[in-house]
Amino acid sequence: MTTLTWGVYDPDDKLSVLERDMGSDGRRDIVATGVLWAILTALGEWAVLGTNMLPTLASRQGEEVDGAFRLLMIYSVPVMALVLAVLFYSVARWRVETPEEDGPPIADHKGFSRGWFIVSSALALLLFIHPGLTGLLALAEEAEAEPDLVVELTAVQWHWDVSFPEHGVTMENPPELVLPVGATIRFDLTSTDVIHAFWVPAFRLKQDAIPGQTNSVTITPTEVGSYGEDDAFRLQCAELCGTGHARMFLPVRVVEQAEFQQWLSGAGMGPMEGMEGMDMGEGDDMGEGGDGMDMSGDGDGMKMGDEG
Amino acid sequence: MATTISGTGAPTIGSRGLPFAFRGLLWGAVGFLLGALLTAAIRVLLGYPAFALEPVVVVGYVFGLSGWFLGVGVWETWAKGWLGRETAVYKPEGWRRYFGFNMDHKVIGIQYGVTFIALFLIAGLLAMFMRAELMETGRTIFGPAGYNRVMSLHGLMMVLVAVTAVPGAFGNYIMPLQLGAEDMAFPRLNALSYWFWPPVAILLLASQFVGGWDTGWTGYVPLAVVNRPGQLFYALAFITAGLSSVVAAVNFVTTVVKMRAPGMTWRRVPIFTWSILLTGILSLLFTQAVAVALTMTILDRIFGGAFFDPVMGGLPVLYQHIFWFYSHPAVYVMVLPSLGVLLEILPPFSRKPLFGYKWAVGGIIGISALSATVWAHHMFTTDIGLESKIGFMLTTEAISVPTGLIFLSAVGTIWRGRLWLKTPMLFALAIVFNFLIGGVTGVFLSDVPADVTLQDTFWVVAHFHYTIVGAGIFGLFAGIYYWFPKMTGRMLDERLGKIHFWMMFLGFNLTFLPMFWLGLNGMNRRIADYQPSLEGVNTFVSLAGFFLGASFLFFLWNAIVSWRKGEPAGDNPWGSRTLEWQTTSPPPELNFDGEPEVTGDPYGYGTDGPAHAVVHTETGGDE
Repeated sequence: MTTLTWGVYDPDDKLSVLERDMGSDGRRDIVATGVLWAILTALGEWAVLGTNMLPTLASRQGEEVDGAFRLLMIYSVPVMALVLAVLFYSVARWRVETPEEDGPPIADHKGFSRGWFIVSSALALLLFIHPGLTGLLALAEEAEAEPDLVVELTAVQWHWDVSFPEHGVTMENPPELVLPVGATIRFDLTSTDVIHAFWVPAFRLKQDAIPGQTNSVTITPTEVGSYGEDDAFRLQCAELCGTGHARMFLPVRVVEQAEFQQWLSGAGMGPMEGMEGMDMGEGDDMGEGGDGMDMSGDGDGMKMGDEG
Repeated sequence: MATTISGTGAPTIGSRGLPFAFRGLLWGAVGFLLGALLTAAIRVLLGYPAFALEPVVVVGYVFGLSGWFLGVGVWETWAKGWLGRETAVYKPEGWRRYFGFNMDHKVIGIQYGVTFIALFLIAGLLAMFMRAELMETGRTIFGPAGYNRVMSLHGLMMVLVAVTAVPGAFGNYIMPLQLGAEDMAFPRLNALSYWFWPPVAILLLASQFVGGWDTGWTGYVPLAVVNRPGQLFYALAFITAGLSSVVAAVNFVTTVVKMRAPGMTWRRVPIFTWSILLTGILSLLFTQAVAVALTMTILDRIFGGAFFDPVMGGLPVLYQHIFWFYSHPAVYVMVLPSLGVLLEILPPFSRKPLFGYKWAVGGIIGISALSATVWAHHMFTTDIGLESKIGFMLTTEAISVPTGLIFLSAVGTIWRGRLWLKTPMLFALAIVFNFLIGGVTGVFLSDVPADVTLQDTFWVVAHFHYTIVGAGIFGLFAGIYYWFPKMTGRMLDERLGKIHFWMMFLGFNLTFLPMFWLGLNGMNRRIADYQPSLEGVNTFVSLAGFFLGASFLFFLWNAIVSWRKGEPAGDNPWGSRTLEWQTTSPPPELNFDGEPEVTGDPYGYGTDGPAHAVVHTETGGDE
């Protein structure tokens, strides 16, 4: 293959040969790319605003998360559309079989480059303030809220132990986690072995359960629902914790307050199958109630799909 | 420096007998046995049972590594000098030159390139098994334990490939040529950095004979302290790879600073070389951190170190801080060289100067500087305080600004160019597309309110594959298609190249785009099984993944056939202006038939200003 020789763009002749052939001085290209940008942005925003990519939302705190996600999607569209518009337009407009000449020697454009830098910096700052900082502070405030109910979750390879210390109820590897709708619930998370993480997709918030310390996450369920109908209602371990990690999830059922109380006091135990037995829990800090229970399910409800 | 080693005078070795790599294996095995026996002896003296796998392996490995290096050629080419004896140069002809302690940066570049393509293909095959397991819910081929092992091996291997392949192959081969240098600043260190890799490969292989490990590539404790012995091999392999990085980084940084040809001012340094310089600085400053974290893990495993054991007052989260202090800069080590390749390819294939050279260099420096300040964004769901979250969110979102400058330079360069859509250009344009998606989806993860649901889901898996494969690995292939003619003297087949490109580009996007949706809809990462509602999309992703995997067969076929019988390339098939193209393909032993002098802009396409460089031949004429 011989070395190719290249024509030199003539800066005095404002148009290169190719551009003269195409009858354009570049201004038309800017307008055309601008139009393409607008079209791509409009299509993108239409798609973003018109479709819901998120699963069921069932917590008040999750509204902050979804709001941030949707806003970021809205911001992303024009940014992506700009780069794609230039990319697509350039390839369509200026592709050549073999370049007969060089392009115009545009090494920089002060206004455009500075504008790009300023706009992208402003956009980054804007995103940091909102939804970033505002959402973070809102979530932090939510976390400080006085809980109506405290649930202690202890992660163990590979299941969750649940206790309701205010009610003296302790359950080892229960078949499901029942929660009252509308109550502000603080989950105190810890682990006995390796790091696990608390994540109920329908509630959105995620928090690690780390041995040797207790982390909290506060959630107010806003919708009733259950794993049986919607798999976003499950307490899924979200930090790799060994062999059983994928199956380390606990079905969640959000119910009305009365039903929750009934379930907690043991009256709701009837339909639960596979229960090995009931023992008195520690319940040392509680005078009332007192009929704590220790339930151990055989984890039948935790299988996904058919093991074959 | 380079001339004293590659020059004449010293005796040459290695052209006969067993290739040195095999002698290295033998000496390494002897070293390992010595270390193992020593450990056993000490254990007996201290009253322990003689054999315990992990201590024996650790000490044996240190001795074995030394034996390996001596055997592979360090003895004759380096160590003998310490004893006042005459050293030799490893310089056989033909295929043998790749199997010993060769100090020629061009040989080392090809050693790196071939080794890491092989590792990439093996790790890619592991991904095929992962996608087979995830085709359907329930057990498909190997179940959760096997899946975690394969996933972990895939992760670490691919991380090592992403960190090393582009700087290893092109940083070594191309960067000194771009500088107009005869070789790297420290040719012995350069050879040393490569020969760390076979022990890494042996450790990864050996780990699978003791059950592998299941922590992914991140090796979070306490899991990494309490699980199977394969974890120890993981730690040793990772530390060894890190040593190689540090050794290579010293060399890259020194070479760029000290070995530039006359006239190569900082304003004239090609953008790829800039990216290698900053990559080297990052590796040099931060790699030690991961070695610290892993050494602490090893001590916890075999010496009761208790750094991370809460019962003994240790702190599991400490590991993550130290680990990510390295590993976040490391993700830029994976991506920056490929962004350098991108910006190196766009000007000759657009026939235009690199747009906003200063902005692009500023972008690379800015990304590197900020990358040191963002590590805890991997830890928004641990227990870091509100103020930390605010700070790390700010620095992380700030990284989008210098990253944006890379896009500025890219779109400015193609605008009104003469876009010559050869295979290297197609890969370069694909990087712009992929990295756009990778970058924008990363902003979601930097935003704490969005991150708390996205973290540790397939959103993250999709995001980092869009950056590290979409830019990093696409950059590796862009570089291969661009520089293969220089390195081998032959062109890759354009038709096969385009088939590879389109299959890889479509396969990649069809595989990873749906993963964003999976992550949003409750598919957490690193799982062997998932909710039945996610099955349809997962089946689609798996099929797309197999299609992506198949694309590399076309590359492999193309590379093997073209290397042997490809069309001769000539010196400068792409009409590029940078110095690596102003010499023969492949270049002579000392790179140029004369003294290069840099006289102008490396990307002055379209101007009739001075050429980037001239090579003064011995007769005094310019070439």
